[in-house]
Amino acid sequence: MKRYALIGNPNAGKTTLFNELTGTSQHVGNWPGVTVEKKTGHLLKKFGESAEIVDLPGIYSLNAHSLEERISRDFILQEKPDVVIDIVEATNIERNLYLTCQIAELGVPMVVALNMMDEAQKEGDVIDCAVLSKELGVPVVPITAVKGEGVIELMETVGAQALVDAVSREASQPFHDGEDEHGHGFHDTEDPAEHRADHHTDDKGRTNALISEFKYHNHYHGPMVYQPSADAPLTDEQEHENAQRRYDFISGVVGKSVSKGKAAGEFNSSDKADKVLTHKIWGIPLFLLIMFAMFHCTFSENFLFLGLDIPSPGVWLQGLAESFIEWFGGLLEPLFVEGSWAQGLVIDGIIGGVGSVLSFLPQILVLFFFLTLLEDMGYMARAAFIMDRLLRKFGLSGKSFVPMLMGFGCSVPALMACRTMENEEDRKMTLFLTPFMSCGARAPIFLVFAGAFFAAHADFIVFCLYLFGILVAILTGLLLKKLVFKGEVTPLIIELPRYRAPRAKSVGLSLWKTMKDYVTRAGTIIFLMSIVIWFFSTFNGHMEMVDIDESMLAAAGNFIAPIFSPLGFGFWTAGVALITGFAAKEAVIGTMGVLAKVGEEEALEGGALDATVLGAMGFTPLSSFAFMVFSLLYVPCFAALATLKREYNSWKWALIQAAYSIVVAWVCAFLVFQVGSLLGLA
Amino acid sequence: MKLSEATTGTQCRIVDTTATGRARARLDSLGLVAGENIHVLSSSFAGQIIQIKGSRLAICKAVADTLEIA
Repeated sequence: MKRYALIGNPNAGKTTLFNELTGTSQHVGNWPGVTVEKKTGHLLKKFGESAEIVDLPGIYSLNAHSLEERISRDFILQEKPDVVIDIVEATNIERNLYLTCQIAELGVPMVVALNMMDEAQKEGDVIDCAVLSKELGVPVVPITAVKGEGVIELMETVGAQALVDAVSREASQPFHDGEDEHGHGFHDTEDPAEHRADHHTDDKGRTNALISEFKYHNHYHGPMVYQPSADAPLTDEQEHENAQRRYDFISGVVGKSVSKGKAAGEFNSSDKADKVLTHKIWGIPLFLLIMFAMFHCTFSENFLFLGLDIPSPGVWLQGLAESFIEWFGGLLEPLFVEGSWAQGLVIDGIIGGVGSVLSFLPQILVLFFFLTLLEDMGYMARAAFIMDRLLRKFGLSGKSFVPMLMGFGCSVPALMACRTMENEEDRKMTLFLTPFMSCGARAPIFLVFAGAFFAAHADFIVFCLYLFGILVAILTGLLLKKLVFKGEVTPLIIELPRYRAPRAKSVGLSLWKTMKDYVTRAGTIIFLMSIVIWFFSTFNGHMEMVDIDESMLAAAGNFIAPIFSPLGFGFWTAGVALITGFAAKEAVIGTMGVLAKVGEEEALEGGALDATVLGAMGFTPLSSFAFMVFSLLYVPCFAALATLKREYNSWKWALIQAAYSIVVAWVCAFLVFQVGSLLGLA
Repeated sequence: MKLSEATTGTQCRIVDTTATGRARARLDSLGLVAGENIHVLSSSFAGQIIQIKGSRLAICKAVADTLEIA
């Protein structure tokens, strides 16, 4: 089977093209030995014969300074994909061609996909692809990946290229009659290194084709540059000279093939939008407003503050999901003998536990919908820039911001996103702080408790909790900067992509992925936990079916409960819920559902975990608030902890993080409850 | 003068950079090399947004300090 690699600058539309080429047949894994995400997929039938598409990380160069650059370089040289598809953004062609030159220098079979032709046309740019292709010496195919235009032609060219290469590699004809005859295989008897030295190397040892790696090289017409070897990396001067030579070459190529519609310095609509959105005064308030609007749409019971009892889309969808699960439970109920263990296991244990967790899926999807939307529209890079100055005060850089923002979705991908940070200390700091961002799995806890005890202000309470998590992260950051990571923060350079209309396909695919992850977890970890909890909550040490308050779980909960007494929730149900929350934060509510036998309650009253049910457990408004604060901060879930360990590459920091967060959680909840009691709020 | 001293709306050209090693390589790969024309779209306490080679980059003061312009 053929294998094609996709490569390109961040924001060049690589993901869009990858989605277009592979549909939903994507597989996400890791590059061997490292923790960078590797996406692969199968080429859809309509684009040609069966092939594997490998999505390389988005990079600006192949200098091998960052992990992503090294991975891409090693993949091309060692795995030898049949064709490398280089995505170049048409509206930003000069800068993008820099990477193109570096790929071509490796001597690989490649095709340039000139993306976003529609936007270039809108700007009035005219790009002559035939001239561009001829000047570069690499096939160039214009596409508009978002609309799927040109993709078939692109893959035809790629397929032809792969075929040509296969033929020319096998051909054992003597070659190289003249300088213009590039793009050929090697005679078996000819030593590639010798061929390179003879034909593609200048007197300073510079080359424009690393043919030895492929026993083949392309038609690339670029300048001769220094290439690093294993024992001799390039010096600063050599690298810089390379860069200058490449840019000179690119200027020449672009000069012949592109005529710009707008003069340099003329504003486009994106620049105009930036005048407002990155304004030195309005930038930050606007950012906070956008964040609040996002949470409001997800969590508010009082949508748009109309006071009309209209729920926000998130709350409304969650209600629908709850009713559905209730209906489903009701459907199964008659199948079991009343009071039997099987009924307990399925209705109370599984439907109760998994159901409570699944009912929050719509809200998590709504939150992710907004996050993906902002990312897709290009706002996230602005957010990093806006927040950079502020984060710098706390020893972080603006680049920490995106991982931390993703932390509101799920800590696991957020921690993985820290890999994009070049500086090791910045990265370690961000890893440590990200779990304090309240992840989507913690949302159900807040929703249930805030909904039960503070229904009128649920969105405000939830917003405050999110802010509180951020505050703890900031203070922790300051502490770490003082005590541990004393180095300088890496200066920020970030590309601001053009603002774009969000694309239904990419938003949809990302939501699909989130949903799949969430449902998978509900079906595995949560499912198992629900059964385990049901088992321990139904049986006592002698394997007899007992009421829950005499069960093994109650014993464990009772054992740790005294620790929580000063926090206002020193009863076993809270203890048990928090223990299970370590497996997955969603499980806190799932467990409460099981413990409260909400399945039955619902049938009787038509209500879920409300103030009455929680009150019966022992919660008051104040202690429920302390409980929310504790749940917000205490240890990341097991999956997040395992990810921390992997990203730190040691248990030490992961365990320090866990221990630190338990202590902080306890202290904060203690303060909330005790100060609240003193103020007479109990 | 340094790029960090340029005000909003300045159009200038990079003449030199004092960055070295990895920082220099990053500037290279983003097109921030001597001879390039820059348009400062915004300059504030948050840093600067510049237009170069048809792309927009947001850079903080520490980076702008390493770029000499004329």
